[in-house]
Amino acid sequence: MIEDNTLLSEYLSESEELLDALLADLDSLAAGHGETPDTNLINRAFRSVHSLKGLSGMMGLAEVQSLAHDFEDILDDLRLGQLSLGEHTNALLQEAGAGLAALVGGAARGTAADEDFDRLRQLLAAIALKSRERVKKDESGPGSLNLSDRERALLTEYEEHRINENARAGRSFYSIATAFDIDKLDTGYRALSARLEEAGELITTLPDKTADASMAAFKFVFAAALKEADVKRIAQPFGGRVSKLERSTWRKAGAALRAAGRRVPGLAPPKAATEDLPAVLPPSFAREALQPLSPSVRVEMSQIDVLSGLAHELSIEMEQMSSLAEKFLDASNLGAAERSDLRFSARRMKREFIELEERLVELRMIALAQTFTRAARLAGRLARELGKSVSVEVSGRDTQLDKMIVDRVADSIYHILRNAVDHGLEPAEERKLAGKPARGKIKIEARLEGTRAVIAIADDGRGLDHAELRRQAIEAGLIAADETLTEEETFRLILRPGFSTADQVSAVSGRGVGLDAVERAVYELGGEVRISSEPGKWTRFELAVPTTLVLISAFIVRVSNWRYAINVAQIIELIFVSPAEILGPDGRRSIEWRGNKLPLVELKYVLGLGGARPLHQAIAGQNGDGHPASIKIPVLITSAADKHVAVAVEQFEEQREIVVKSLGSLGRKLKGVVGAVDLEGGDVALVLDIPSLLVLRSIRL
Amino acid sequence: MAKQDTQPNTSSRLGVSGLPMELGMDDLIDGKSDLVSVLSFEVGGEWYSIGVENTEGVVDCPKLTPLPGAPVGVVGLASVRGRMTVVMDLGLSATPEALKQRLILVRGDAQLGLLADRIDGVVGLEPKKVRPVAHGKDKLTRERAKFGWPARSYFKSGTRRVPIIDVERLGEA
Repeated sequence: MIEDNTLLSEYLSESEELLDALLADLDSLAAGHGETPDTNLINRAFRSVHSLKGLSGMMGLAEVQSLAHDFEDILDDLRLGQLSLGEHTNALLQEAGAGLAALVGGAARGTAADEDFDRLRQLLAAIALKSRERVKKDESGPGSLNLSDRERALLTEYEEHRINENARAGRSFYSIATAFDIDKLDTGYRALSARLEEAGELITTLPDKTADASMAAFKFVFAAALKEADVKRIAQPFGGRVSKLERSTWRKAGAALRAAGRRVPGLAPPKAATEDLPAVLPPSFAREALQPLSPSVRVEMSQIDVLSGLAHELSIEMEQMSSLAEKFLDASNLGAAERSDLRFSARRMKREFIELEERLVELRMIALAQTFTRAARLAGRLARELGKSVSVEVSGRDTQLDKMIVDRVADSIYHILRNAVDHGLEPAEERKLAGKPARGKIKIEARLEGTRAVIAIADDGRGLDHAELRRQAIEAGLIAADETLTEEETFRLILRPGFSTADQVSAVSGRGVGLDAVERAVYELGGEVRISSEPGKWTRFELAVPTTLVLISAFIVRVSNWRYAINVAQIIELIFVSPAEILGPDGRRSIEWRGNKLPLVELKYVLGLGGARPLHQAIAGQNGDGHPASIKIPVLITSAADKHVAVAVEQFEEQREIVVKSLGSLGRKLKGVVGAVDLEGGDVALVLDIPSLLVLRSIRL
Repeated sequence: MAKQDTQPNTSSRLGVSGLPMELGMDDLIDGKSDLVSVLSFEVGGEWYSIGVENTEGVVDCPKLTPLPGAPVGVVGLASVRGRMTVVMDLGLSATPEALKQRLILVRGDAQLGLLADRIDGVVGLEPKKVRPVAHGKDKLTRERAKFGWPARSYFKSGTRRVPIIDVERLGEA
């Protein structure tokens, strides 16, 4: 049972989501009827149950955890093909899923009876029994693929099973060897995997060797009903070398399998077990499962972003309306009372819009309570593993932060905690010698500091030893032997990549990720890491991070040697315009776009960076290209106050995800600039709100 | 105005030029609560000061990015320690850009930084030496009032009046 009400409601809403997904997947599985179940569905159901198991374990709900574990085993058998999915099994699985859903609420509130748990356990055991009749494995499977022994050893049981299944279906196997630039690894890897998943089944990805340290090489093992040439066409844009992973004997075996219509001895699926199993769950289970577990509604963060965007646009429209209203007022013969009414209501609307935007920001905020509770539990567990004793004090659990920031900073908190328990706190004997209580103390705190939240993790351990830090930094070549460093600079050495204060790498902390990862993560959020310590007494890490954060997809453009970021949501289209297509005189330029005449303005002028020089001359001067006919001016189509506008820039760069950093209370007063983003090379790009800028500069629309 | 007059009274100084201001400023004022500690600096040929408790350190000024529509005095934006800092230049007369290399980080939500040509150090003042600025009485304050002069008090160093920057007013600029 969960005592803490906040945790209880979080557990209930999180588990409800997992159970809903699980039940939906089990329903789809049952509806599929097929002899070969959809592996994606089974995998997804497995993940839901697995997450529920983890979540319940974390909350100390051992009964739910063990039931989820049994459930997980069954789904595992299913995806390994060791349990066939007949109508009866499907019904039992659905019943078990419903039973689990019905039990979770009671277990969390401490009202579930032992018999309920036992009944579900029996049902799961009955399903598991069926999987005893295992499908005999196709021994010729992965063995016949011309992978190296080392690579073959890396295949999991599940992957071997998928190779067998694909072979049976008569698909061909390919290996695609490719290497990605480490910087672009994420995107490249994901793009190729996605293409392969579309065209067939990506069985596994094996690490490959490469001589170039800036590259990461992989071998994708891929099955599809495609010809080698087709696979090459897919892999070619990624620089992948394709080779067919098939021997002639394999092909023969496959053909024989198909000819025999799968009725090859040893390969036939087991006959569907139809022995009647009693429906062991009472009907009351189904009724309880209808009761929602939690009164809250879960909303995708992106939905809130959409709402924020709409509210923002509305407020711009509203500003325009109120300035128009002012003009009408001047021209009208309204009485004093009506004038003041109108002004009053315009002011009130403005205030309410601001409040609306603020409320939407608040919706994204969550308290640190859950993260801190997990962190405290983690510290206790780590200490036990290391044979240390620790008491953890937590304060500031109510501090509210943007959910995205909490998610991103959680790893850093855990990382510093691991360090504190592992390296910071001394073993009990050492503590006694130093005159400290045998039990170590760790404090986890949060407090607000202006627009930032400061999360502190302090231990009363051995502290940081200046001389030792210095010695190691010199040894590692991070500083020169005669370099003078201040105290803080010396402490900060431990944040450098490649710095480790632990002489022995322990199982707990030694995972090859240094504190530099912590600093990078915090820095990317627009925060900073602070370290203070007193040798022999204590160490304190502080992570100062912003409380709110906006991550947007932005397009980077260049104007007058400065770069600017524009939310892609504000861009309708990117086009290139040749000077001949520009109509009208300077200052009243326009272009044709989709059959309409749009005003064309220069971003440079809008930003107040320069006059309205003839566009093509400016560009020609830059390119050193004197032929106006070949000049193409980059133009983005946007809209302000419901009208389309063409905005000329000097160069298009790229689209990327950026963390918008606040400009502080003074910067917020700047219209048309919503924040700034750190770019490589110490550059800063302002994040522009183009519609506001256009309105601000009274650009005719 | 000759430079030599502009040195603050050395006898009352706690710090010295070149002190590593990035750290330990709190230590400097600890236990000396009778004195008001201000950081004095020079920009555009004028001396100014700011309460030490209102600062977060001094750094080399990184590359500045222009801010469209910024009020007078704001010269751009810089990224310092992962935080966007709005950089102000109090200097009225133009000084060569090369001189303005130091940036005093101002504590508070405004995320401000003040450009400085030279940092002199921390000065400890007896409270009675801090005097209110009489608005409009002298040429300097009249001139400054044009763009919301952000000082309400000053102290005397020799014959020179060194204004003490009022951080709240900076944020209103």
